[in-house]
Amino acid sequence: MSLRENATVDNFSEFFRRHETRLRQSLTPSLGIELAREAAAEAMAYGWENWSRVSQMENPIGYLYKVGKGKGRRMRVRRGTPLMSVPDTRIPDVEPALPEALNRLSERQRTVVVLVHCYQWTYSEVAETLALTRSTVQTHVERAMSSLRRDLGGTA
Amino acid sequence: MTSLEQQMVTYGEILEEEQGNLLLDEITSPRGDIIELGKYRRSRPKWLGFALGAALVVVLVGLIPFFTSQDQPPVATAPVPSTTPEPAPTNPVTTDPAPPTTEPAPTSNIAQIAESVTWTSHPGSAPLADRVLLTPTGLAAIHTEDFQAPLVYMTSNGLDWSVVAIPAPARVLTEFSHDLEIDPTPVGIWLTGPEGGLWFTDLESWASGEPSWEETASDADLIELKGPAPFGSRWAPGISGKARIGNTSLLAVEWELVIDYAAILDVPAGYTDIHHDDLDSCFSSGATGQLSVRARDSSGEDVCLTRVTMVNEAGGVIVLDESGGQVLIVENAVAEFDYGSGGPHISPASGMLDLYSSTGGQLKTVPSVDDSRIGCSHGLDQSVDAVVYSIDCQNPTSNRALSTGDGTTWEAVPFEADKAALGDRHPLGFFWKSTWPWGPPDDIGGPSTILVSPDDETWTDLNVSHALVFEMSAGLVITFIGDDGLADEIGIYDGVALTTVDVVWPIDEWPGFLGAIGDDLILIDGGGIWVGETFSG
Repeated sequence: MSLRENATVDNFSEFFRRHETRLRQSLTPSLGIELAREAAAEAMAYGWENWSRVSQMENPIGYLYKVGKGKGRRMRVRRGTPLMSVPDTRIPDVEPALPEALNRLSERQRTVVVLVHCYQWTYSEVAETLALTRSTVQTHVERAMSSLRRDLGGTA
Repeated sequence: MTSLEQQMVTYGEILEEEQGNLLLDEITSPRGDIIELGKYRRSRPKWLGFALGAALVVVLVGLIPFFTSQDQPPVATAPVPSTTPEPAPTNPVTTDPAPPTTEPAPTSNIAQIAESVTWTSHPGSAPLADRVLLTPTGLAAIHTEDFQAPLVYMTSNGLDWSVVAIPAPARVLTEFSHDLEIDPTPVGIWLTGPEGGLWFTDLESWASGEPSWEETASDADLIELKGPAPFGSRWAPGISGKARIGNTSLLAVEWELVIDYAAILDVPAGYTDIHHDDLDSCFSSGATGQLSVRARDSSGEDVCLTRVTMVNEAGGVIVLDESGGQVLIVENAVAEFDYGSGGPHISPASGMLDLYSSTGGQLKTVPSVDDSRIGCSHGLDQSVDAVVYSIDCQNPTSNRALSTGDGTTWEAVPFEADKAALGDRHPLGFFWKSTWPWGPPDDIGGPSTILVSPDDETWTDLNVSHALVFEMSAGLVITFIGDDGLADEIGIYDGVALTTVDVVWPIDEWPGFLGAIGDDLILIDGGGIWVGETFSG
């Protein structure tokens, strides 16, 4: 392997290390955990195959998020419920109706609110990955939380 | 029970535990594993499996005449994507029987759906084209590579083509292939010349074999040519993409649009106009609708918002004013609104104005928003995002492309299957077709969501993206499109269920041009044409 090829691999490796989890988590609210993992892998593979171009992009992770989302949706022909139910052992800690309430949100709201409140992303991180403005993220979060509280009634 | 926020943190931990961080483990493995990321790719091995299986079956089929009759001409080998780079076969070709469908059989119409798509090749019979459109009388293939000598071909059966006269050296102006491929009532074709000038013809005129061209000066004139559009549908200045004239019979659910207008700097005291790209109106039937305009500064904080002016779809002006929390309908919109007992709500103190029905009242109409005027007495000295929402509406009375602040273009493309053919089942839906400026450059576009309803009440998201949709006798035929071309299956939605049928496409590389005439798929590529039979009945 040449020095240039080594540098390319190192460069992509660093990108992969830094962003794979973020990419996978960002896809989870819309695709579910299994498809999100596959879609993230597909997107990362696409990124690697096109690394010379992707690496020059202003927002490569945002780009790969779009790629992963498209690939994931293609994998999933029929609708499932993206977010898994709460395991019985965790029900004391989490309202069982929460996943279904999340699934009833619009995809955009679900994605944003899961990233912010479940995965503890900052608004800025969400904005960068989803290519939204920070204020839009904030608005989505507020509306999603409002919907969740209304949906869950007095249980949350 | 703990707070909702804490529950969500815990739920996030559950998700991560379930995920198992398998890929994260791979990150820490030696570099070679990263290079071999392709090993995670499930679809390609699966696809190759189908392709190799198809090739094997075809070879076996090809051997049958050898053993049965030496006088029979050999059957050509079916092309298999990527594995057989040969061009189109020269004889009618039948692809292999596909593996069983992956979806359970719907309760009706399944008998009409073939187990696999059968392709018949007609090499050399199709013109070169860089655009293929469905018209009321067949397909139009348009070749515009040479600006001075574009050619338009028409066919009514997919096989015999004739040249259509066009008015002047021109090229096709509009992007409307997706619309026309799925829309049973295409509008027309637009041409523009090198020196300007615009020609329009109603595609319906092609039913007589010749288009009727009319020269027009502007996009607006095109609409005038078609007559008044329902509910004020009109050409919006500055939009990206092209609009369709509205169709009032089509439904949509969960219509949500966020438009960010960033970097409106140094707004002086008083008001400033925000020019939307024309937000469609939509009608709500029992659903909750909401429209809000919110002004925020660059840090995301609300800013003073004392007045919003919206232009409704009928041209009336609606003014929301903080004084007294009143909605002042200046003109021409009174009859359209019924907010029930819950709204409207105006909360200027929070910088947010909402029109919504919070207690069960029906918000019949969310006004279209052409321009919003925002401002406050002391001016806005920071950048502002104005976020416009319209949520949970139904019945978009028109659709047109909308450009959001990040450059993404959204277009609602409705489709409606043949009611007569399907009886009570009424596949009807719409999808958002989105394009974004920094998406995969080889992405050929398509819908991001397909919602269908058998009864106009219950909606299902088919969750397919990037697809072309054709109306056929047994329902909607959906061809899935991936980043690298057509997927190895098509979906058929008959109003009851989505059935997938595997397909081996007769070309190796995309793009080709795919249309439909009747129940046949028409694939055109490099001057060759293939007719694909999707239904056996």
